[in-house]
Amino acid sequence: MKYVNLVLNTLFDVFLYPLGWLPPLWGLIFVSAVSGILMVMIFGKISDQEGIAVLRKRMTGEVLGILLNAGTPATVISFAARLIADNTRYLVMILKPMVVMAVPFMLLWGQLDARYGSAGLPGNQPVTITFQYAEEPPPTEENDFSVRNGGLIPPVMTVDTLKQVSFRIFSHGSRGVEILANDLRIPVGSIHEWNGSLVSRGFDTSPSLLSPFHPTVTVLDAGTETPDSGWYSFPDVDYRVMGWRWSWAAVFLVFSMAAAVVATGVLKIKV
Amino acid sequence: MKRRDFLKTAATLPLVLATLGTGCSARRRTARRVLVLGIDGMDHFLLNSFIHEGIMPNAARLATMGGLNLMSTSNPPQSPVAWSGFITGKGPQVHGIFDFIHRNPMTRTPYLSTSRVMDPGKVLKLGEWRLPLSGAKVELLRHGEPFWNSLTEQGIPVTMVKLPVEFPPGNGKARILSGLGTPDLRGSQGSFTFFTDDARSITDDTAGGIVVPVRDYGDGCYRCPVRGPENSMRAGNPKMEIMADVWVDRDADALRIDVGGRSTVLGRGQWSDWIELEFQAIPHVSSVKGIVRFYAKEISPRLKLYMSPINIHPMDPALPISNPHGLSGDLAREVGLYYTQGFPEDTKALSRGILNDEEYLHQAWIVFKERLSLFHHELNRFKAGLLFFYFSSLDLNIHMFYRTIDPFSPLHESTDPRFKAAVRELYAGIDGVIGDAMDILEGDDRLLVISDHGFAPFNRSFNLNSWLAGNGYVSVSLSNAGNRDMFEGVDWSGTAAYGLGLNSLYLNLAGRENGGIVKREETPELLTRLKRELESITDPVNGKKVISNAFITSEIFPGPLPPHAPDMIIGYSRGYRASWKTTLGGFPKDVLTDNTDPWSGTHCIDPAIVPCVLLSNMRPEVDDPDLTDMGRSIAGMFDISRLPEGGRDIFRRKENSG
Repeated sequence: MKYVNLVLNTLFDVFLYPLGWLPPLWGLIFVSAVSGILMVMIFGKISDQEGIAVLRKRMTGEVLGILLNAGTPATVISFAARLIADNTRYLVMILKPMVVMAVPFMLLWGQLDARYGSAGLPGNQPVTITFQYAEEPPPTEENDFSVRNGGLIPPVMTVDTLKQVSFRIFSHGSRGVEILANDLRIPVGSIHEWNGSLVSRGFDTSPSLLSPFHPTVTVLDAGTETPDSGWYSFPDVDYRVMGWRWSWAAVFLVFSMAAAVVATGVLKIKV
Repeated sequence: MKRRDFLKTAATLPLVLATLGTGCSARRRTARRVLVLGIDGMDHFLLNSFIHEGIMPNAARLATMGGLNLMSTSNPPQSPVAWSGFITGKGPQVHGIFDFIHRNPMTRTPYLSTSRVMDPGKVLKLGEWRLPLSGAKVELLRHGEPFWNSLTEQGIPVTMVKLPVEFPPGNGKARILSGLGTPDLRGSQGSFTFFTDDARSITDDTAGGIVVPVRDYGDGCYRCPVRGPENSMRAGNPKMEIMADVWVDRDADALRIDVGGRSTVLGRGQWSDWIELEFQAIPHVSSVKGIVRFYAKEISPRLKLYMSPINIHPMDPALPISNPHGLSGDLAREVGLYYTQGFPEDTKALSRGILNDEEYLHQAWIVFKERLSLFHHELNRFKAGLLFFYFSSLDLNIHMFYRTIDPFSPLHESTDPRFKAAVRELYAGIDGVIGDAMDILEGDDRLLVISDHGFAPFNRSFNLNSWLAGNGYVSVSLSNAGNRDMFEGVDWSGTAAYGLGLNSLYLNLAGRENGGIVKREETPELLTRLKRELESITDPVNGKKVISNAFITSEIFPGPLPPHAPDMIIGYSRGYRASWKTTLGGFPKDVLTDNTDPWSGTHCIDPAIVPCVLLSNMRPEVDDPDLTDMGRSIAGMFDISRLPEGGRDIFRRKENSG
C-alpha cells in the first residue's frame, strides 16, 4: 500500500504542479471541473447508453400519461407503477458505472480533503502534532524533535496507553514547516513552497488497505525509533466564491456537477 | 453707534457670516469620520489621577483639545441602563431597561432585562424528537429608536462593534456586532466549567459556572463531559453533551485535550487557543457550534482544568450576534476567533476561586488583546461615517481589582502586592487605544471617548430584603430563608415591599403582583415612608449613611411606567451596594456585612457619585452634558437634515442656548 500511496501522491503532485502559482481555490475549481468531465466520459463509456435512452423516453411517456389522465385514477396508478418499475431498472442500469466510478471518486475525495480541506499551518499560531508509534514511544529525553521554519512549544507529552507523543509547533509564517524527529523529516503544512494548494494533514509510514481513501498520506521511511504515523490538528478552511463562504466539498460538488452537465450536452452522453 | 457705522456693519455682517459658513444657526463644518470609543466604567477621578501621573499621555493630549468633561450617567448607573440611554437618547421610561435584572410581577422570578429567547411556537412531535416548524426567536427588550437610524437613513455608514444592549442586533443598514448582553451558548451571561478530581474543589454551587468531578481510572485519561445548550429537539430539552478526552502525562506535567476530532496539548499554567465544539441536536442533521478556551491550572497530582464559557461560534452563530449576519464570521476570518459573549472576562471564576488573581488577569489580557485586534482591523477599514467601538476591560477588571487601590477594602491587605498595579496597567492599555484612535484623525474627523459610569468602592454589602423583613415590610421566616434565594419562606400576604436586582425595590402591589396586598392609593404614603427610613439607615460599624438617595421612580421618570419598572431605585452611598443575595431575592441574617468577594468595585449606587466621562477633540458648549445627549450630538456632526429626537446636541451652541 505504501507504493500505491506514493504513486497516488506523486500523480496528484504532478497534476497540480502547473496550478501551484495560483491561489488554492483555482486549483480546486480546475480539479473539480476536470473530474466532472472525466466522470461523465467514464459513465458514457461503461454505461448502456442505448438502454438509458430507451428508458428515459419511456419514463417521459409515463409522466405524460399520468398528467394527461389525471381524471382517471386507475390509469394514473398504472402509469405510476410502470414509472417506478422503469426507475428501478434505470437505477440497476447505472449501478455498474457508479460502482466503477466510486473507486476513483473516493481516491479523489481523500486527496482533495487532504490538500484543500485545511488551512495548513496558521502563521504564529500553535498546532498540535501527534505521533503514533508501533511500540512503546521512546522516553521523552530521547526524543530529538526540532522544527525548521518554525518552533516547538514545550512540553512534549507522551500518552503511554495510546503509544503516542504529542506537542505543539508554530510556523514563522504561512509556509509549512518541517519537523525533524529522530532523523525523520516530516513535512507539515504546505509541503511545497511552489504550490500553495498542497496541504497534508498527516503522514503514514505503513498505510493500511483503506488509507488511499483516507485523507493525508505522506509516505516516509520508518526506523525503529521513529513514529509510524502522525496527524496534525489544522483548522478547516473555506473559500470565498461569489461572495459566499464555501467548504472545499461544496466547491467540488458544485463545479464538478456544472462541468458534468455541460459535458453531457457537448458529448451527447445520456445520464 | 454712529449711523454710518451701523450701516457699514449691517451691510458687511451677512457677508462675513456667509464667508465663515456659520450662518445664524451657528453651523459647523461637518465631519467625514466620527470615531466613538465606548470605555465601560472609565472613572473621572481615576482618569484624572493617571493623566497627572503621566501614564495616560494620549488622554492628556485629547483633554487639551476638548477638555476632560464630567457627564451625567443614568439612574440607576448600571451599564445596560446607561448604554440604552446612549443608544436612544431617552430614559428608562422609554427604553424600558431599569436594571440588569427585571422580574415577572406574577411570579416574581427574575430575568435578564435586555433580551429574551422564545421557543418556537409550533413543534412537530415524533416520539422523543421535537421538530420545530418555526424558528426560535430572540427578542431585544430594549425599546426606542437607536440614534444611528437617522444616520443610515441619510446615507452615513455606521459601524458599531461590540455594542452593548444590542443583542440581537437590529436589521437596519448599520454594521453591528453585539456586545454586552450577548449570552454564551448555554444561554447564560457566562458559565465556566471546571473539571477536577480534587475533592476539595467539588461543590454544588452553580453561580457563574459548574464544577464537574472527573476521574482517571489508571489509563491516564479523564473523560470530561462538556455540557452544551439544551436540546430543544428532544422531549424534555435535555442538555447536549460531548465528551472531551483529557490525557495526562504527569512526568511532563502536560495534558492533551482530544475533542471534536482535534487535539490540543497544554502544559501546566498554559491557556489553549480557541477550540471548536459541535453539539449534535439531531446527529448529522442539526448541530450547534461553540468555541472555548481551556486553561491547565494543575495537572499533577490533581487535575484542575478550567474551560471558559462556551461562546457562540462567530463563524456559525447559533443566535444572531451581528448585522449583517455574516459580519461576525468575516471578522473572525480576518482577525481570528474572539469572545462573543457580552461579559468576556470571567469574573465569576475569580470570585469562586477557580482562577486566582494572576490567572484571571491573564485571561483578561487575552480578552483585551483580542479586542485590540478587532479594533485595529476596524480602524484600518474606517473610511467614512461613524465607528463606535466598545471596550469592556476597564469595567470588569476594576470591579475585581478596586480592592488594590482602596485601602479601606476588606481585601486590600490580603491582595498580592504584585497585582496592585493592575488598575494602572489597564488604564495605560486604554490610553494606547486612545492614542491609536488619535493617530488616524485627519482634518475634520472627530473623536469621542465616553464612559457609561464611574466607579466607587464596594466594601459593605447591604441586604435590602433582610432590612425590609426586620422593619416589618416583608413577612418571612428567616430560619427558612436565611441563605436561600428567590424569596423562599416569604409570606406574600404579609409583604409590602421586596428587593430584587441591583438597585430595584418593588411594592407588592395589588393587581400587579400575584397576591399583592398594597393598594394603589396607599403607594405614595408607603413610598415616602420607605424613602425616609431607607435614607436614614446608618452603618453601625462606622456611622456612615448607607443610602444617600432612595429615588421614587414615578417622581424621577414622570409619565406612564411599564409594569416591570421598580417602584423605587436605591442610590447607595459610596462604599455600599446591594448584596449579591439581595439581587436574587435572598434574606441573609445580617443587614450589613463586609464584602469579601474580589468583586470590590461598584457603580450601582447613587448616580451623582459615579458620573461618566467625556473626552473629545471638540469642546462641548454646555456645562452639564448627559450620556443621553451623545446620540444627537454625534449625529449633529454629520451633514444631515434630520437629527435623532432624544437628547441635546451638546456641541451646538444655538441648540443649547435656545
